[in-house]
This record gives sequence, structure tokens and C-alpha cells, in this order.
Amino acid sequence: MKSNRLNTLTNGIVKSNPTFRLVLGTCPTLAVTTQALNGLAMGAAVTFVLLCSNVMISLLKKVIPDRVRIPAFVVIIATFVTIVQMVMKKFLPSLYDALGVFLPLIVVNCIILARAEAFASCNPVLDSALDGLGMGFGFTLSLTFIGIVREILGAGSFFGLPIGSLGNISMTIFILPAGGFLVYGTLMALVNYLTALAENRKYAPSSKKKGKKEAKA
Amino acid sequence: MRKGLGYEIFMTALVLVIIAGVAGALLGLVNHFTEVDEEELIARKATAVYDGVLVPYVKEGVAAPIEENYGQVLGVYNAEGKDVYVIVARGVGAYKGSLDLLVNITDGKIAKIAAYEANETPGLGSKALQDSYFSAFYGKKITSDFKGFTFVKGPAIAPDDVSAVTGASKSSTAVINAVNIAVKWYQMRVLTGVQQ
Repeated sequence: MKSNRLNTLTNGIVKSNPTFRLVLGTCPTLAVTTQALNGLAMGAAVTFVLLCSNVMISLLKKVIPDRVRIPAFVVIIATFVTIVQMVMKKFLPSLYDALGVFLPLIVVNCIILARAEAFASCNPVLDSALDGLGMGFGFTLSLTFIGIVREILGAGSFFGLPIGSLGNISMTIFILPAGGFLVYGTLMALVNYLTALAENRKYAPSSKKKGKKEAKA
Repeated sequence: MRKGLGYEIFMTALVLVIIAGVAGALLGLVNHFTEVDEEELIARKATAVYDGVLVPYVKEGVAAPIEENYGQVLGVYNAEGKDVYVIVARGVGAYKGSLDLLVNITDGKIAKIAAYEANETPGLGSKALQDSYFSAFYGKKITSDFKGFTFVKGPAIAPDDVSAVTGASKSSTAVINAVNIAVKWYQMRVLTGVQQ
């Protein structure tokens, strides 16, 4: 049971990483990752909403009539998104300005709606919370990673701190949409390659044994 | 069967109403704690161009905002008892429609400019929103016969020429428009007022 719970948590970070494996929520991913900090903030906002909405939907799964579950989910998600928006506007105005329209658009972020529909509406509260947290962390890590790469290549800085004189030879294309696609695609290929490599290694010893046995026979 | 259907519709509606009601109440509560006063927001952003207390500019019989086809003045603040005006000016022609600047005119000279509400493309249009670009306007004495800054591509030749940032001519245009409307406001509302 315990390892099951751990699996639920890590599932979103590695195996079904929403950005690199499931390719969900691509629009905010490409739009806000011009800077590492924006990616991190977007990820944090999504994690909060995902955690809260998953818990709430899991709690209410018996109360919400099946026919109107989608509108009910959207109302719950929209509530949490609006809370995030109001808190950010008050306390982090510069990040609020940087994320712009993509902050309220978290309401229709397919990761959140998909987890609500596919996981939270048919699992216990604790598991739903872990799933939300895992998926949120996966999303945050991916966005921050893309943001770091794009910021270094495109602006020559790391979390807003300039790296030497790298800013003079930076390639602006990487903070424009085209560069976003390039970085996203390359990182996706890299992550998939590494995952495949890890999986091969996991199965490699058993397949070797099998091969030996076959050779003996 | 009929009664069952009616009951189902009633329950469905009831659950949705309750969820929406609770959500609304929760949002109202959060809003109570996080409400941002617009005046306060402007005052906070205005510290980028003026370090001190600003109050909304009021003058009897004169409407503060003005509008032209190249931009408009959204609001004006001044430091009490001093010749300091912070003008929130919107210039049209930006990459995303328009952009808003804060223009500080102190003792009849442009003292400081900062972006107020502008989301130009990072790395391209954003170059026209940096202090290195704004400094081209600084120190300009505004007289009543000043015709405004002229936008030029390439090097500035005439004294009132301001050259565009390479790769950001749209953002540069909007910046110059915003500064010009702020200058026009100053000429119309402050200089003419003084002369009459």
C-alpha cells in the first residue's frame, strides 16, 4: 500500500510527466517559459490549484451528480484559480503581470481537468492529493527546466541574474515562440531517450539471462 | 417516472447552486483580504519615476485626461507644493496595440520615464522600454511652442529627433507617442494655465 502511494506521487514526476510524457498543457508551457522564474511561478500556481481541486473533487465525488460533473468541476477549479489570482495580484504584482492572461487560463488547463475527471472523481482523498501534488511537481519541474534553458540561451541569464557577458551573444529566438518549440521538442526527445535508457537497463539483466538460457538449450 | 425525473432535476440544480454559492462566498472572503486599491497600485508603481508622496492632480474646471489619435493621458499625479507631475500616458502603435508609460515632468523638464503597463516581446520590443532608451528624452525643457519628439529610423539629426530601437520600431513609436501626449498634456494644462 505504501509503495502504491509513493507510485501515485512519483507517477506525475517521471512516468506520466504532464509536459514531456503526456504533452498536456502545452499552451502555457510555451508561453510563460521565457524566463525560469515565470515557469516556476506558473508551475507553483498550477500545483496549488491541482492539489486543492483534486482534494475538493474527491471529497465531493458522491455528492456531485454524474450528469453535471464537468460544470461542477469547472466551478471548483475556477474558484481556486481566482484565489491564486487575487493573492498573486496583491503580493506578487510583477509575477502577476508577467504571467498575464495565462494565470486565469489555468481554469481550462487540461492537466487539471484531466486529473479531476480521470483520478480525483474515482479515488480516495489522500491518493487524489498525492496525485495532484505529483502532477503539479512534474509540471513545475518541466516548466522551470524549459525556462532555465530558454533564459540562458535567449537572454544570457539564470533566474534573472546575468551570466558574465553571455547576454551580448544571446540568441533572441529562444525567448520567442519558435525557440520555445525548439527547446520543448529537444528536451522532450532527451527525456524520452533517458527514460527509454533507464527502462532498458531495468529489463536488461533478465533478457540477458533469457538469452543465455536459450543459447544453452 | 415523472416524479423521479423532477426530483433528479431538482437535486442536480440544488447541488450546483450550493457549490456555486459556497465558491462565491469563499471568493468574497478572499477578496476582502486581498483587494488592491487602484490608487495605491498606481502610487506604488509611480515610485519608479518619483520618490515621494503623490496625490491625484485636481484642478477646478479642468478635466485632467486628454485624448488624441496617437495616445491619451489616463491620469495625472503631482507632489503637493512641488512642480512635479507624474503622467500616466498611453501611446498607440505598440506591437500589442498600446503601451502605458509613467512620465515624470519636474520643473518643466522630462525627468524620468518608466513602463507602467507594457507587455512587449522580451528581447525585442522590451529594448524600447529600458532606461537606456528612455534617457534620450531626459532633460528636455518643455516650452509652449515645443512640437513634440519626432520618430526617425536611423540616427537622430534634428534636436527633437528620437531614433527607433533596431527591431522594435513599433514599440519605439508607441513610446514616443506616449511621451508626446504627456508633453501635450503638460503644455495644455500646466503651461497655458500659467500664462493666462
